[in-house]
This record gives sequence, structure tokens and C-alpha cells, in this order.
Amino acid sequence: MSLRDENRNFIAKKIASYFKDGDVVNLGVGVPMLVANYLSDDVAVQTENGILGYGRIIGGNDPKEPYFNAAGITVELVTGASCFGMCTSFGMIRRGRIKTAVLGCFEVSQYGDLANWARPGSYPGMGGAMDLVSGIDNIIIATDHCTKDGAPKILEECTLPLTGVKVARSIVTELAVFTINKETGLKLRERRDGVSIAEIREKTGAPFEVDPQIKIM
Amino acid sequence: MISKRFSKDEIIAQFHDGQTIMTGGFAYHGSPDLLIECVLESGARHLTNIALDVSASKLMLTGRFDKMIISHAGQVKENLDAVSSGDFEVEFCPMGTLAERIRAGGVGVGGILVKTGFGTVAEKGKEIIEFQGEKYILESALTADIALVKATTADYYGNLTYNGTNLNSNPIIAQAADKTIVQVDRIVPIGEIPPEGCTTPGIFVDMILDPEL
Repeated sequence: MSLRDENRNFIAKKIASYFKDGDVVNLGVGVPMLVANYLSDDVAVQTENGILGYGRIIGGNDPKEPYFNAAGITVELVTGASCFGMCTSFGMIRRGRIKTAVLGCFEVSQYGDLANWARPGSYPGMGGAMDLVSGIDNIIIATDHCTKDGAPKILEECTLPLTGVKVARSIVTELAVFTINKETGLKLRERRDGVSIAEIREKTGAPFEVDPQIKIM
Repeated sequence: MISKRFSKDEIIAQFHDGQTIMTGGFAYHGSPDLLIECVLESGARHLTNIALDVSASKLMLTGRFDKMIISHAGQVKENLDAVSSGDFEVEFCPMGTLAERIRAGGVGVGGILVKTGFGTVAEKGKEIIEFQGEKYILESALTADIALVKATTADYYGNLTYNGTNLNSNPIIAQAADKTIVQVDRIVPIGEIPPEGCTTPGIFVDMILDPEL
């Protein structure tokens, strides 16, 4: 596994530890999807294309397989799962029945603005991301701390088209965990073992407070 | 006996220049690929496609479409390039909103009020409505000339069942067009689909592709 993949799995494992049996979570494409592999079967994963309760990601995208997730990848259902159409699916999202979503980002701002659907030269579209951030209260951002070129993804203000305004509640990277207050901004809650606060400051494009009780991830 | 089974040639004859065509499916699953072939073979041009994503990407890459209303262009580079190319108009709509606009069209409702997309491009140019103390974006209902649907089983009348995640957008699209054309894995005589096991009632279905005709 490459260092980047190891880091992404580290992020996924960390986020998976936040959930307890009976919780329901929607996982976005990319790093968030890896979270599914570290969850207990009693945490239900919802995917907006119409499943409540998928477990392991099987992989592949053969259209003949009956169950797949929002990335078009074949998944295995857990006992008690259900399948439904898009309107029911976004209904449970808009009605606030899904409490938490884990999403990726191109950029996230200190006050929780999220940009994860368009960047110059590439407009994949917002998919269900805008519906998710407007219907779900606890939005966790799972992301590499910096871009491939080393530029910070956590910024004072987003520069790319927004998915939502003041919607992210926390950010988990391979270096740190931040919580976000819509008015006061970022607070560093955890850092990775061996990573200094100075290094996190250097790689973060926005100011942040440090929790006096900061923990090791 | 009632039968809505038609041959491929009879279905090809339904497509004309300038039509709006809805296609079911998501991430290449539950996509009516044989019916999309029929559109290509018809030679129809200047079409508009409404779909949750680019499961009908074959159409997008052939220059048949002037406009697409979609929520996502997928991860395939040639599709992303086509969307960025400016060769046709693309209207992106949040997926849940798009599904609900199609559902509204399919149940005879003029539009919907949503909170999705405030502070983003999704609210640009749209009317904001204050209703019962809350602010909403007014989104219009969507209908089409033709809906292309992938279901699992159809009986001769057009009662439909769907399998697993193929439920995605197919049942709502089946209701939202003037003419609904269906591709299925299995065609069965009337009476074989239990009444309570039918997701789309046959009244919404006009033509079933029967490869044996």
C-alpha cells in the first residue's frame, strides 16, 4: 500500500471509531467510502442511490450485480437492509433521519464552507452532495490534508464553486482532527503521533485555536 | 389480449429531432442500454436528455444532444471532457432535487420547494419563496416526450418490477413522460406479477421492447 493509501485508510479507521451500533451514516465517494470497511455490521451505511444497510465493498461495477453504491461499485448488503428509489432515499436525507455524512473535499473553509464538486477544467457535477449538506446536520470531512502538489485544502475562504455554506462540522486528515464552529472557526482537537502543531499550522491555510486538552489521534 | 410488446424497429420509429428524452439508471446500473441504441439508430438530433447522471453517456458523446439536465457526469474522463467542452448545454441540478422534480412531473405537480443549494450556483436565477416562515428555492417539475426505462420484469400490460438498486430513478421516470418505453430482462403473461409486487402500474407504460419480435 502506498503512503497515500495508508494515510487514507488511517483517516477512514479514525472516522469509523466515531460510530456506535444503531447509527446510520452516508458515505461520499473517495476517502469517505473506505470508512465502510472499518464499521461494525450494526452501523447502517446509507447510499443515496437507494440502499439502507450495506456492509463490505465487494468492488467491480458489473451492471448485472443487483446492489451498488453511489460510486457505482458493487456492495454486499447486511441483514435487514432495504432498497428503494431516489425520492425515498433523498426523503430520508431531507427529513433529517440520516444524522451523519462523511464527505470528501477539494477545499473546506475555516467556517465550514465546502467545495467538492467543481474545479477548473473538470465539472463532474454536484451529484447528491448539495442535498446531503443541506439535509444532514453532522457533516464530517475526510480528506488528505493537502493537495497532491502540497497546497493546503483547509483555507480561510474557498475559491472553488461551493457545495454549501457553513455546513462542515469537523475535518479529519492524516495529520489532524479539527472541529468547526460556524462563527469562531477551527479548533485543533487531535494531532497524529509525531506530528507537531507547527507542522499542522504550516500545512493549513487558515488560523485555528488549539484545544488545551489536545489528544493524539 | 392486451399487449404492449413492440419490435426494435417500431421503437426506433418513435424518436424525432428536438425531443426531450428522460433516461433511467445511475452509475451505468439500471440503464436502458438497448433503448439508447434505438435512439442512436433513429438518427434523431437536437435532443434534450434528462437523467440523474450520464448513464446514457453514449448519447452525450455522439453529438445527438443539444442539452443535458443531469446531477453528475461520472468519473470517466471522456464524459468529463465532453461536459467541459461546451459542445452542448449542461444544466447541473442537485440529485435529490432533480429526482423530486421528475417525481413532481410524474404526479402532475407544477413544482417543488426545496432548501437544497442556498449560497451555491443551484439557486442562481431561481425564484426564492417565503412560505410559512421558511425560505425555499422554487424548482420546476420536469416532464419529457419520451422516457426510457430499465425494469426487471414486465407483463404484457406493462406492470413493472425492479431489482435491487435498479429502483434508483426508473420508477419516477416511468411516470414523467408522454410516452414511456421499457426494456426488461423478462416479459411474462398478464397475471404473473402479483398485484402488490408491481412497482410501476402498467397504465404508465406505452411500449415494451420485445427482442423476439
